[in-house]
Parts: sequence; C-alpha cells; structure tokens
Amino acid sequence: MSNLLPQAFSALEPYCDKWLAETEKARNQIRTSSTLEENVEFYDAVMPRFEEMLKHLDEFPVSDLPTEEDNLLKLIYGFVEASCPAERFHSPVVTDTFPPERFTIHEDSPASGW
Amino acid sequence: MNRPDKTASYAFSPQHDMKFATDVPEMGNGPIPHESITSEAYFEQEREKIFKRTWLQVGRVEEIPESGDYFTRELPTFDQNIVVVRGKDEVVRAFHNVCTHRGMALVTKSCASTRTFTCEFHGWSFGLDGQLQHVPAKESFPNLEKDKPGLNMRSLGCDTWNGFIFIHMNPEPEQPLREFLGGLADDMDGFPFDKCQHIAHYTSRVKANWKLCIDAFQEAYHAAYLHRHAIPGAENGGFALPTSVRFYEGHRSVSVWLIDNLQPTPAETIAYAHSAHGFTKVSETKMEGINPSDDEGWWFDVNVFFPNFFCDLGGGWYFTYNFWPVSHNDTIWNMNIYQMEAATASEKVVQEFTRIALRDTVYEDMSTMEFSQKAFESGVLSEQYIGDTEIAVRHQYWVVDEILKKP
Repeated sequence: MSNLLPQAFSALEPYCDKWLAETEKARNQIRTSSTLEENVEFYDAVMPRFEEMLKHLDEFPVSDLPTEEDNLLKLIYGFVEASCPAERFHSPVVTDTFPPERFTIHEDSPASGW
Repeated sequence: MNRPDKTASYAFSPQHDMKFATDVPEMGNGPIPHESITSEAYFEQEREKIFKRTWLQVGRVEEIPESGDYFTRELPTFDQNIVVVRGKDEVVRAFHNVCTHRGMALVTKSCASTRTFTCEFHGWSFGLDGQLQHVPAKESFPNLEKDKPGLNMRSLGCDTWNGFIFIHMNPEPEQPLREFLGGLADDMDGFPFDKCQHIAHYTSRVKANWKLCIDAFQEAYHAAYLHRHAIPGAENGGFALPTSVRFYEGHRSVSVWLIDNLQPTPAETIAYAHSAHGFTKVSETKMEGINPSDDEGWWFDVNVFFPNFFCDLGGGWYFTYNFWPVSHNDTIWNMNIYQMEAATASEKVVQEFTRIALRDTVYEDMSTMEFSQKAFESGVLSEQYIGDTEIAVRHQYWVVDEILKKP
C-alpha cells in the first residue's frame, strides 16, 4: 500500500482511511457521525505532531503542494474538525437542539447563493 | 447524551460602559410587542414597503470576474429568480430570469458563462444587456418590431459597493446605492475586501421570523453564555460585550470586545503562532474600515445594513449574513466567510480554525430561534423584554415600525 502522507508522518497513515477527506462538508459529516471517543483518539494522535506538521508544510509553496503534503494538509483539516468535540463541545455535535442535517455546508467554492 | 454542563458563574463586568458614537433615535424603552414577529399581515406590509423598496445584497463581484459570467439567485421573499451578469461592457446587471415570450427560465444553472441568454423553449435570444436580439421565425410575430422594446428582459436596479452586488426591485431606484449605505459605509470604506478570499459558505432554513433570526447576531449579551462551549473561557468575565454602538438611519453597528485573558484552545495556540490573523486573536496589523470608535480590546464590528445584510469585519477577516424571509415565520439564512490570502500552509490551517470555530459558534445561535418564535406564536409570551445592551434589537423593531406607519 503506497503512502498517502509524507514519510515523516507515516505513523498517522492508519487514520487516513477515516479522517482524510476532500471537502469541509465531508469532514464535518465524519466528525458528527463518529463517537466522541473516536474524535478524541484522532485528536490525541495528531496533537503531539501538530507543530512539526505545520513546520514541514511551510517548506513547500502553498499553491503547489506535492500530493503527500496536500494529503497531510487535508488530514490536518480533519484534525481541526475533531478538535471541536475534543476541546469545545465534548460531543460530536454542536448542540442537541438543531440537527446537523439542517445546517448546510456548501462545497469549497465561491458563494453560490442560498 | 451526557456531557459535563458548563455552569460556571456568569460574570457580567459592572465596569463596562457602552459608548454611543452617534446620535441615538428616540425609540422608547418598553417591551417589544409580539405582532412584529407573529403577524402575517405585518409581514405582508414588510414585503411591500421594505423588501420591494430597498437595496438588497445578493453576491460579490468575484463570482463573475469576466464578461459573460453570471449567477442566479432565488429571491424567496417574492418567489422570483434573478440572473446577475457581467456584460460585454464589464457592467454588472441584474434581470429577472424569465423569457418574455411565455415565461420559461432563461438560465437553469446557478452559475456559468454565456455570450447570450437563449431560451431552451423556442430559441428566443437576448444580449447580456437584456435586449431581445433574435426571435426564430419572427415573421410569425407580425407586430414584433413595434413590440420589441417591451420584450427586453425585465431588469432590476443593480449596483456595487466594495465588490458587494446589490439589487433593487425597482429598476430605477429613487435612492442611489451609495447614498443608501450612508454613514455605515463611510466607516467601512478602506477595509481590504479585495484582498480577502472566500473560505466558507453555509445556509440554513429556520422556522422563525426574519427579524428574530437577525436579533441572534446583533447583540453580544448572549455570547458569554450561549457560546461557552464553542469558545471555552467565554463565560469568565464579560466576553464579547458591546463596547460602542452607532446608528445610521436604518443601519446599525456594534463593536464587540475580546477579553484579553481569553486563551485560544491548545490546538489553536499552536496554529496561531504561525499567522497574523485568526478568529479569537487580536489582530497584529492595523487596517482601515474597522473599530471606528477606537475601542480598546476591540474584537470585531457587527455591521447591519437595513434590512437584512450583515457585513461583520475583524482584523484580516470578515463574514456576511443574509436573511431572506419566506413568510412571517420562515427564513433562509446564508453565511459567507472571507479571510486575507493565505501565503503559507500554516496560514491556511489558521483559516481552517477561523471557519470551523466561527461556523460552530453561529451554529449555537441556530439553537434558540425556533424556541423563541414558538413562545410568541403560541401566545405564552406577548412581548420581548429588552435590556440596554440589546439596543440593536430595539433599533431594528423601531425602524421597521416607523416605516410601516407611513404609506
């Protein structure tokens, strides 16, 4: 199986299957449909390496990242999602009073109306 | 589900003083009667006297950078669909998305590029300036030449300010856009809108009156308590209180304050070290268009253009809301977030924290509106009890009331 991530972060390959996704909508869906424990486990795996990841990525031009670095950036975006249950809400969802299906996250593209 | 509920003591700073940086209209100080959010007749008047007569923001120029680019928008308040297009002359125009022959929609994509608007039904074709250009088998319309001027695409008023595209239901509005935007636009001019990139887009449909939805975002009184989960530490000591308020006819602006001992989360702390800008980070750079009253500990400005457009400015980021009423108790909410261009990958990560943290914070705001609407519609409560720091809420109801009193 070929590596999705840069070699230095190969220890995090097992998390790619679940947490590496292309869009904000997809990443949010993964977070809200996982348990709190799953979110926290991923958060705990990334946190000690987070600073190092940022330093690694900053060595490349942001508009032209190689594939492995681009994957690492997307995995970090998944980590940002997982940090919300872990650090803020202590729950995969924001609130019980307004379900995620009613809050629409659009594709990462210029504003396309309502 | 079970989670530890944060009920730490909610300290509202007694030393806090809210500056009035402009004149304040005489708005009274009593409770707000429920009819303005529960009455269908009241809403019909709002539709006629406000939404049909006022400039309404629908998009930004970056969505249509080249001649021929267009986007469509549904206007749920009128059950109409419009197309906004950049013409061959670079001018941005807005038309009803309707073929003047027999009513078919001229475009059915939400955004694309075209040289003409050609109707799928019979092939009638209009220029990007709305002029009827070509009618197949035109000899079958013996009066066509005489009738042509009346068969151009129906236009709307359309103009831009700092890249924001506004439309007006009157093709020739009485008041020019810039004059309408007035003193609030004066305060905001100079903000680097054109240096920001679009980073997020959300919508939601809420079963509540459009003004009640707007209220959730124009008072900061709720922030310390409602947002104690999204922004850990908010509940300690008067987070995000309003520090100054400005009124410009129907528009209003509230500056909010970030307590200086608010700690970013552990993950944010690592990321923020790599960027000048961030959601809960006091901006390190000076820029125009923000903090017009020169408040200390300034966080961001809540800028509300009457009737339904927010353009909130922070240090290096801004976000907008639109509130489109469908009926008296049904509203479509639209949010877009923009931030200064990311020069590095770690700046992109900070952008991600901005959008996710801000998104989840406004998500918390969604959680109260429908409960409130129900309390008034069911008759349990007959009025809203408004505090001094909720003055923007009072202003909105007052402005609408004053307009509806006139013919």
